[in-house]
Amino acid sequence: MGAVQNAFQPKAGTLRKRRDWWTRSSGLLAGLLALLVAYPLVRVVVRLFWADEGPTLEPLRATLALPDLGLTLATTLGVVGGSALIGLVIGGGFAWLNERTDARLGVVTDLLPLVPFLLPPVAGAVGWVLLFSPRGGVANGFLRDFLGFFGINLVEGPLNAYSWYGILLAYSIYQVPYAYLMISSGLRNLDPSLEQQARLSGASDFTVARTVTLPAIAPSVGASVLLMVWSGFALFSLPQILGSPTDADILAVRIVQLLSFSYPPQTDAAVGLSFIMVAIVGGVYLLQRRVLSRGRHATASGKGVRAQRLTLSRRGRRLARSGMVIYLVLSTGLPITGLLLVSFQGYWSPDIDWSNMSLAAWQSAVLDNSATRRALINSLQLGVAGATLGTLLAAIVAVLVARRPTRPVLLADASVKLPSAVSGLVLAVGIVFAFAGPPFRLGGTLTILLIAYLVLYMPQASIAADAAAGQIGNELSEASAVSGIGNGSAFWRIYLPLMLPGLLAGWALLFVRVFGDLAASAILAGSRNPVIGFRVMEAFSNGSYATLSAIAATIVVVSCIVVALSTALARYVGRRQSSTAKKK
Amino acid sequence: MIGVRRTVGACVAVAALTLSACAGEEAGGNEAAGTAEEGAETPEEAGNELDELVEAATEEGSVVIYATPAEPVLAAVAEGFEEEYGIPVEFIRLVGNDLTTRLSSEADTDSVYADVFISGNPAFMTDAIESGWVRNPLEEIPGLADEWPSDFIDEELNSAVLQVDLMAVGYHTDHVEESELPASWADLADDRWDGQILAAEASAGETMLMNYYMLYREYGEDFLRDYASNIAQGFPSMVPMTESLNAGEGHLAAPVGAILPWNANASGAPVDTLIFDDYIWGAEASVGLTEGSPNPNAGALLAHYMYFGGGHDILTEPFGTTSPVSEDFPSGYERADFDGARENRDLILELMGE
Repeated sequence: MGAVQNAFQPKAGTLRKRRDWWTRSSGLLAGLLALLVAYPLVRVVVRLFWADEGPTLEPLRATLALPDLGLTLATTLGVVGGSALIGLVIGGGFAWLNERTDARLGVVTDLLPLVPFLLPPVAGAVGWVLLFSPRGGVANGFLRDFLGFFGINLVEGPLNAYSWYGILLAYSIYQVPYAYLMISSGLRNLDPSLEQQARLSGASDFTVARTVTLPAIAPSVGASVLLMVWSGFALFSLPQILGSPTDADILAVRIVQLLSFSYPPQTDAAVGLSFIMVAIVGGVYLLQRRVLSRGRHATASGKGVRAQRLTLSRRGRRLARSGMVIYLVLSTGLPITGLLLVSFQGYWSPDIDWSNMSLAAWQSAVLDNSATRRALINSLQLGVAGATLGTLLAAIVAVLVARRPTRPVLLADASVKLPSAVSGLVLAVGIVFAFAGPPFRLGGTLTILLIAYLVLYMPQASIAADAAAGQIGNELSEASAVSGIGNGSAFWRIYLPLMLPGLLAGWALLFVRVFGDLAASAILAGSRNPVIGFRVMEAFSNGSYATLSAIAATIVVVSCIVVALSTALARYVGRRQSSTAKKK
Repeated sequence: MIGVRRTVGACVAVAALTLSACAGEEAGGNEAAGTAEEGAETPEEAGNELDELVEAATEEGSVVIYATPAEPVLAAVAEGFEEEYGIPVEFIRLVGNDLTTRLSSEADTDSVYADVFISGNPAFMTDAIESGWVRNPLEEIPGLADEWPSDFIDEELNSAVLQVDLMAVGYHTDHVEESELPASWADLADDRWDGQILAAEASAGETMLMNYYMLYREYGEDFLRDYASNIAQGFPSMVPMTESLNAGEGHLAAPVGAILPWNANASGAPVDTLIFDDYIWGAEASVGLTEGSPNPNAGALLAHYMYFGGGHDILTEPFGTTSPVSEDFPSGYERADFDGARENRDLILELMGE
């Protein structure tokens, strides 16, 4: 009797360890993934610290000796930090309005903060320039005409895309989606009983939000901050286009200049600068892990109960919805409108000649262009494959970290996140070193692009999966172990379904990033493996704004459709989980 | 006083070319520059060599080129070559360091894909020769060493300039009257252009640095400093600069590749192009042959087609694009001085306020 009892009584505070095939396989997979991600990075790092003669610190010294490095770092931190703060306020605000009030507009509201991501940053920046250049901006032209009615006659302006506020606002638009996705996912999966108990105890809605909701969704907030910091540091085309006239020296632009604007490319200095990014982003990552490990945050319980939504007044609801729609119009509708106008007019001009509108740019750039069509199909395939594979692998690693945070597992997890701190261009060069030549010989193939996208964007998939896994309470896995369910079944039948809404949000983000990627495509794409991001960069560097606009608008349409479908699916899954739990 | 040329219709005669009957339509050497030397192969020998090359290339069956010209131009070259020799061409358009990074990465990893390339970066060619990444086109392209204008052959770089994109000034026709047009580069330092000039940044790349160095070399420090002070806005490349000119962000864009404002004009934008013939230079591009390429003979044949065959006419057809053997090649042309630009990089950046 005692022996039987002992077999079913695990040691206090721990689960009975079962080294089944799933644990071994997923561990191996995590290791291989980490290797895939780390190998190109290692090839690049070796070049930084090892010359033909042996170990050297010369490249690092050369990096630290770069002129105005301190100013560049300070400027970058200011822009990234400021835009992350703005993004957190706007994105978090939208997430709260969607998940905790009755101000939702259904799927439309869900898409609102995501839409900026549908436009590649280079096209978005060009769109702002088209609208708000001091003299030639179309919107500025309208504003000057409007002000002229009141006797205010301006020669240029009144707004200026090439300004510090212009840069900060443009950055913020690309930060909001990260904050919105992570925080809304956290709110959706939050056990509402905590908030209900607080209300029952007499706490006001504001007190509940401040003392219960916000601390409970700390993992999601932490994940969003990490993603925004990573994203902000990696943004290159936006500061390059808007920053030049303001002398805003941004780290990512400096790295690309070292790689692309001089020959021979100063790869060593570019890698050295990237390692400064590693230190900063790594620090934010450690902070996030610390927040998650404290455990003082809410988790999804075994019961699926919907959170109580705050009923706003009619005026409040109208204000909230109008605010969200206005944000959509201003943040994304405007630049897309600017791009469309230029694409139909054939050139950029503040004076729109409606009689000159035609599809000439669309025909030459997209419709009659077999290379663009082929690039679109390739990008679509790579986007779906990359997002699916990346999300699934990230989920496996995240569950492993949540259930068996051993040192090798944590090392694999860190390896997967490491590329987030390194410039995409530097990683792309590393991938050429690692996979283009023998023994792999993947140069010029879609496979090497897929590898590059997994390396580049696994960090954000991993962070999204971490947040989703972090909200699955231990009691669920303990219950599954007691019931005799294996680790593999527990993953597919318990973890994955519960993580699905969060994973789908991460999938959508991963898809748009892969679909519109520029960094890896510039180095690895060609006529054998064309992708759409490369053609956008080509249009910016060697084509025309009309061509760029036509291609960018096509990217927006395709991305919109895919993201709308995945968002609707996430909502459907979430509702089914809630209703299934209610029936029980 | 040297007048201002506003269209490429104004032709400057170059020395007559000698055509080789065996190779069909070919451009021969420039007698004024001096070509035929004692011991040079005869036309018959060149013809035999070409026939052998055609045979070997046909056996290889395909060719890949990395090149800087615009895609429609490359597509036309590919189509013409395949029509003439029955060998399909795969072209990949790459510009600036994208081209050199890809070539060097592939050579470093023993995964050479391109057989031939067009590049305008002498620093890369120096590196490529030292590293053994390239073969010598002067030895492998029939007739190139003997018939091409010697002033445009650089034996140290194993290259012969194929194509020149002339540098020009773009201007907004709504803001600048004909009578107000600058008469030469020197006029750009004038106070009346204060805040009206759009320019690409000198730090944006080797070509831009070279452009400003060419201006400095001819007109001096004071000119460059005054010209820089007239710049309203700097840009990371010539395309956004030209686009901004289209929108009237400035009245002039300089220096700019002549084809850019011309293309904008063709699309209906209120801009036009000014080429000064008192001091003229351009971005020069040469053909390179990769070492270890999959189809070396096809690569050499395609290169020959671009220097001497129908490819030459296709590549030099766009406005502002010419070649040392073209009829309209400017007589006062100055060779692009990348070496001088690199040696004076810090000074140029300082004068440009960067």
